[in-house]
Amino acid sequence: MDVMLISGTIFVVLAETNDPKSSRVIIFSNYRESVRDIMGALGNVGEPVRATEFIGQSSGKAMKGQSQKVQQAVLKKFRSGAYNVIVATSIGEEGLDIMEVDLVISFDANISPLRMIQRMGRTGRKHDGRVDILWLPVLCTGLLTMRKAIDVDGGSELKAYMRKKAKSKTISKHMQNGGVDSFNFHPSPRMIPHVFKPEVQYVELSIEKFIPREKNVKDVPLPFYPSIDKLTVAEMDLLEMYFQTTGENTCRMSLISYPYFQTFPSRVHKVKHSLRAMMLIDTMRCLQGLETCPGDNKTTSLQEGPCSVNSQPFIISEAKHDTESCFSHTMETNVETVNCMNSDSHHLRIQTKDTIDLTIQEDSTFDDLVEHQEDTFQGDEIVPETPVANKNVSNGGNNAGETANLLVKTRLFQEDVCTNGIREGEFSPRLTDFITSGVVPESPVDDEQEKSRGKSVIRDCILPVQLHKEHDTSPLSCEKVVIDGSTGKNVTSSPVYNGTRTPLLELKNSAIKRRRIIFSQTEEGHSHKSDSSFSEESHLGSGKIPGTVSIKPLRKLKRLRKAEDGDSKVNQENNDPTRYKHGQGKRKSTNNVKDFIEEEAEVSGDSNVSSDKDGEDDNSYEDSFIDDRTNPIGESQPEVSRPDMMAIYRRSLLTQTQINGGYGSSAMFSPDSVTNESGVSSGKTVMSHVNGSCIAPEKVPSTSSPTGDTTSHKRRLSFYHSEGHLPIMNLEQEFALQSKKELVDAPDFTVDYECDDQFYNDLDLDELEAQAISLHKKKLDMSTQKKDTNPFYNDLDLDELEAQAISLHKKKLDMSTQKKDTNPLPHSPKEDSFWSPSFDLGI
Amino acid sequence: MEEAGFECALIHAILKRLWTARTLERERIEAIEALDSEAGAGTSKKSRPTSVNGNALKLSCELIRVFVTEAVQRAAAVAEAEGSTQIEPTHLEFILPQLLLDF
Repeated sequence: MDVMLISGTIFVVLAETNDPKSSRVIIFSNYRESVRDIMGALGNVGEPVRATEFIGQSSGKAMKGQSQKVQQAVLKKFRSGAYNVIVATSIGEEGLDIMEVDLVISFDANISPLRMIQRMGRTGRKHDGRVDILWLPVLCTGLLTMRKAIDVDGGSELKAYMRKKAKSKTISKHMQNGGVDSFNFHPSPRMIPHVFKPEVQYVELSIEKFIPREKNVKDVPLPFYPSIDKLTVAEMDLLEMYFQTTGENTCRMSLISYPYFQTFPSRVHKVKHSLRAMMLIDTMRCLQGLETCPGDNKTTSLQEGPCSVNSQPFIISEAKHDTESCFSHTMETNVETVNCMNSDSHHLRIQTKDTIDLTIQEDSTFDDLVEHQEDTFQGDEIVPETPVANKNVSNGGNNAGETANLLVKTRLFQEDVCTNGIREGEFSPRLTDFITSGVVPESPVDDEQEKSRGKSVIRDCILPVQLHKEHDTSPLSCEKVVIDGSTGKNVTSSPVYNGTRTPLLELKNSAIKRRRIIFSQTEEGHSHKSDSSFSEESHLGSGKIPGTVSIKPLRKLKRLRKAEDGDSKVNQENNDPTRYKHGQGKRKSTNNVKDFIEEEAEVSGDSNVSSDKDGEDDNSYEDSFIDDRTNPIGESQPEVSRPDMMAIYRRSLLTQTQINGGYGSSAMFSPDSVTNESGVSSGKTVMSHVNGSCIAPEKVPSTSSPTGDTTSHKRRLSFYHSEGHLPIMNLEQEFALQSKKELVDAPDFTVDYECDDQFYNDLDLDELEAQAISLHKKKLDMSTQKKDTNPFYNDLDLDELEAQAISLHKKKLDMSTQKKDTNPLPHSPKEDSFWSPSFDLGI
Repeated sequence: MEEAGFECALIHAILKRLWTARTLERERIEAIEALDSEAGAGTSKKSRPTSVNGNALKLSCELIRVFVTEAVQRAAAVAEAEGSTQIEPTHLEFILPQLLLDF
């Protein structure tokens, strides 16, 4: 019936217009199907109605659309008069240049007011037009189902139309007078800076000669050379060698063969070096440790070379191009991921301007660790390390953003970059291993020592991982590994590393690691500026971080496994780390260590270091320490460890720092570098070993009166012992045992490996935790007091510590796996000397 | 030294070879993806191999000529520094990264 209405209306219109030949009608409908129906109905009308449809281009299964060509043809005919009725969908509402029509019929009223206005606007332009809107007054069961859908109840279409009309009217009322009456305008700041004052200029544009735009550029026909010389035999051989017809080039040009030669621009013939090439050169120089400053680049660039500093964002993109080989691949993939990857590449161009900036960066890198910065030891921090305030400020910020900011502000020295490269290398494999396997990596001492030493020797850093270069390249390949890790890709670490160093980094961990790396980089750069020794230390320290991480988690796992109540242990462990979280190991001191130290101070009173007993203490401690490691780490559940990875990591950092701080505060040991080292390492190991139980033992003595002189004495001794790591551990165990069993016999620890299980079982973790908290508070007080511990760290030989820690750890592993009941004495001397997780961050 | 360029036919042949290979690759991929486009025809824009304009071909010849000349000259410099009279691929590898970045 609508169609009949339409046809009737059309007749009327056509009859009324002065020139029936030139009158046009357009019918709008929502659906293509209804367009078809209308077309069918109009077909019956016959002359003078010549209708055609006008729909969109999309082709569905039921109806194929009209391509643009077809549409244009329809409009052309409509204009000429071949058609005088167009049945269109919404395509004809606005935009297309359809000539003005005399009648607009809206088959649907159920559209938005704007679209209705558009439809209506098809007429009434040059002369009066007419708009007819059709709607269904009542529900018609006989109609198409789609119509039914529109009209749920009688007259709804009309109602809807009226509603929309009213809405449209309201809006137009509001928009009167430019909307000032109805809207609150925000005083927006001026977008154009006040520097620019746009002025009106009267310019007469004169076009001298009109050059009509040609449809197609005249195409030169392809030249045709009838004869093509045949290739000589020699040429054919050459082709065969380099370009296999199978498509696989047996001889592929390698981009990475001569990295050293990429550190300076090659001679050019006619084509000068581009900016990207200069950037590559800079990058290579940085990576290989040559003296280069970004400023130099600017001045020495062969040609245009825009200022690298100015084009920071440019560098971001360009940096990707710099490293052609492996880096480019990895970097490009990292484009999307706004992570430290980019910042790493930027770091190559970072200048250390401001300590604060660096610290901020560092903070950002350790957002997790920063949490408790303020709560804990503010006074402990060494100046170069980020102050607490900064850390908190940057905490939780977008790392990438922060690093980007830092990028703009700061620059790293090239040497630092090299060391950073090493650091990264050192970092990633260990962390990776730790994460994936939960086992302390074989981490050969050699590797780490080399790396840590090699920090100053990384001149031959080679970027690509694929190259099987010497060990020297490990840092860079590590770097690459890191980069890939950050992307979450599984990159085969360079063969330099042991197989354990496969960088199967979880993204988060890798990100964290990268942050740390960045931190280390920046910090190194800064420290390098200020204090070379410190920087070295810090470098070492950071380099040792992974080791710490690797070692500590081991212990943690063991404890977890051993403790029957894994949950409580885990909780406690988690609680403790969270409590003792610090931004960076370098700056922070773990509460545990401090508590421990404090307790030591309390118990021992004053410096009661007796060197005599160190030996025997070591032995005994070692035994007990070895006890800890009886259970192979492999048995521990990696899954359990994974969630605690960060906690472990943090704690490891904390322990390191805390131990240092503890030492300083206690002032009980002579500033002996070895002692410091061991103390540091011992502190670290303490921390690593400290899961709830460790903390408790420290507190035990304080809360419960020292069970015996031997105990306290041992505590002291262990604390001061140069190899103190073991002793400390032993003491902890002692305390725990004492707390539980109230054992007075400390030396008993030397014996049983099986004691551990019982030891853990008997631990009252809650009590331990409480004790740990009190200890922690004490340490807080202590931390505020000591500030002169910093110089100690400068002397720490972190390399040795690390090496020792690693070897010691290895030994422990071996022992634990073998489950020897043998007296650990034979091992003790070695372990004593080596067991020091030398992950001192040089605080 | 006369500025002899590559023969356009040669360059064209090389390019066509490359493009047809790429097109086959793409078609293979498309077949794998099992796109059934309603309007899909064998000569759709995607599946048609790339073609080159006459002017574009000339320009490409010139560009390739410049590229090869530059590569040869730079490698020759390296070879001279080394003392050999024949340019080896290793010499080319010396300059390759920067050369690629320059173009």
